[in-house]
Amino acid sequence: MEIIIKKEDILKNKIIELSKKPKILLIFNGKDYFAFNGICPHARWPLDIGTLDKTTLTCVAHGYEFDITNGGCLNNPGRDLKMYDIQNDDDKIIVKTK
Amino acid sequence: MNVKFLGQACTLIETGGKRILCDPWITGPCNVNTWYHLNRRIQTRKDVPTDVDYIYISHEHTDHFHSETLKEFDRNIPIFICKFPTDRFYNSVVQEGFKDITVLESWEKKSLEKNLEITIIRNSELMMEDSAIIIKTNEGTIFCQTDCGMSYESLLRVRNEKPDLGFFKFGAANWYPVVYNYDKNEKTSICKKRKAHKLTGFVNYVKAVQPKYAIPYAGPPIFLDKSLLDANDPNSGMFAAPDEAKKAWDEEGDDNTEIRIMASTDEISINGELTQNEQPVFAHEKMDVVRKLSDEVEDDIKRRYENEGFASKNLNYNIVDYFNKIISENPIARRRIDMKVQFIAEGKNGGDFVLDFSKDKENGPYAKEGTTDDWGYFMKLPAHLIQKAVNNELLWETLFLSCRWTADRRPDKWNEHLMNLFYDPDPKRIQNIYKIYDRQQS
Repeated sequence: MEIIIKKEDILKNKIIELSKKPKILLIFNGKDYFAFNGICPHARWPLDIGTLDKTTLTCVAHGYEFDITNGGCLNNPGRDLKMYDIQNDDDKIIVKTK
Repeated sequence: MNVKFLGQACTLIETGGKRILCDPWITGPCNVNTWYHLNRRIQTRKDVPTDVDYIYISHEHTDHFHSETLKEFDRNIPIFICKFPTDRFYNSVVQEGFKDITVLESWEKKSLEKNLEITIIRNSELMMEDSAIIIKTNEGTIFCQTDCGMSYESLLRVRNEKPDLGFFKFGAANWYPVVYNYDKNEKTSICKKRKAHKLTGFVNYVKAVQPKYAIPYAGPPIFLDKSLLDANDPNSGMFAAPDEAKKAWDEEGDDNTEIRIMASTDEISINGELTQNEQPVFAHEKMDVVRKLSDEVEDDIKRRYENEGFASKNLNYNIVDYFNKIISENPIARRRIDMKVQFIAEGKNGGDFVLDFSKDKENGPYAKEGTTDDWGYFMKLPAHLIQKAVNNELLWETLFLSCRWTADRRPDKWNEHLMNLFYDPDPKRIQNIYKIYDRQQS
C-alpha cells in the first residue's frame, strides 16, 4: 500500500495528515521527509495537534516528545513512533504503508 | 445544582437533595505526610462534609483516596469506583472498612436516583489505574477529570455529554525532577518545561471537552516540610498555581469555555456563578503563603514523622527477600528494565543494596547487600519507609510521591519498566501489561 502526495502540497515544518486509519503524519523539515504513526503511544492523543520544534514533536496532552527523524520517544525510551518508508520522487513523495 | 470545591481533586456535588463527594482528601497531609492543599489555611476535620450520600474515588493515590479523611465517614456510605484490570484498588477500599462498594465498568452509566446518573471513565494509560467521572442530572452535567490521563477520543465522548462544568487537572503531581540529582539550573529548566507541558495539557483537555465553564483543579500540592520548600517556588519549581492555568487558557484557549478559579470551600452553580468563601492562592504570593503554613504545621509534621515507626533489625533480609521475589517472578519486566539499581536504605537499620535487573541475568540472587559503581539508577530512601513498603503497608508510588528521597540515573532517562514494577509487581498484571505493550509497539 502506498500514499502519494505532491511535493507542492507539502509545506515546510507543517504536520500533514496522510491517512486517518491508521493515522499517518508527514513532516518536511526543509531537507528530508518523515512519515510516522500519528497517535501518541502514551494516552492515544493525535500528534497532528502537537507542537513541532525543529525535529522534536511534542504531544499537547502529556508532553511526550518524539524525534521525528527516527520516531524515538525522547522522554520515555521505547514508547516510539512507528516510521514509514518514504520514496522521494521528482515531484512527489510516496509513503509505503505496508 | 451546586459544586463545592474542597481542595486538590475533592469536589462535593449537591443536586436534588443528594450529595456526592469525589476524591476525598480534605484534612491532614498525604503521601507520607508531605503533600498539603494549595490553600491559605490548613483544613481540619470540621471541613469534612460527613453527611454525604455517595462517594466516588478515582484511584488509589492518597491525594484522592485519603485514609485520614475517610476515617470521618460512615462505613455504610455507598462507594463507587472504576473496574480496573486488577482488584488491588477495590481491595484497598475494602481494607478501609467500607461495606457498600460498587465497581462500574468504564463508560457504564449508573442511575443513583431519579435524575441522577454517573458515568466512570477509565484512563487510557497502560501502566497505571485511574478514572474520571461524569455526573448528569436534569439540572446539568458535571465532568471531573481528577488526575486521569484520558485519550482524546474519551474526552470527545465527554464533550458529547455537553458538560456545563468541567474540572480539569492542570499541574504536575510527580517526583520528577524534584528528587533527582541535578544542579539548580538544570532542575529549574526541567521544572519549567514540565510545568509548561502540564499547562498546555490543561488547555487541550478543556478544548477537547468544551464545557461552558472549566475549573483548574487536581492541581499541584504544596510541600510544607522545611526541607522541601524550594519545590513550591513558582519561578523555579514545576508546580503551577491556578492563575497560571487561566493565563495559559487566555493565551491558547478559545471562546467555547470560560475559566473559573476556585479556592478551597468556594462554590459554583451549574450556571457558573461563583460563591467565593476564600481567596485562591496565586503564583505571586504562593511562597509567602507556603512559608506561613510551613511554620504553622512544623510541630505537627515533626509529630507525624515521629509516629511513622522504625525499620526493624531484619530490614536488610526483608529488602533482599522482597526484591529477589519480585525480580525472579517478573523476568519479562527485568529484561526491559535491564540495569542495576543502587538502593540505599537511609537511617537506623538501613544499608546499601544492589538490585540486579540486568537482562542477561537469568538466575538469582537478584538482590544483595553492597554497592556497585555500575548502577543505572540510584535511589536513597528512608529505611523506615522502605520497611513499610516491603511489608506491603505502603505503596512505593506513595513513597516516591512524598519526595522524601533522592535519586540519580545513568543514562538520564525515564525507565517506565522499573517504575511499573514498583507500581505493582503482581506477575499476572505485569504479564498482561507487556502483552498489550508489545502489541502497541509492533
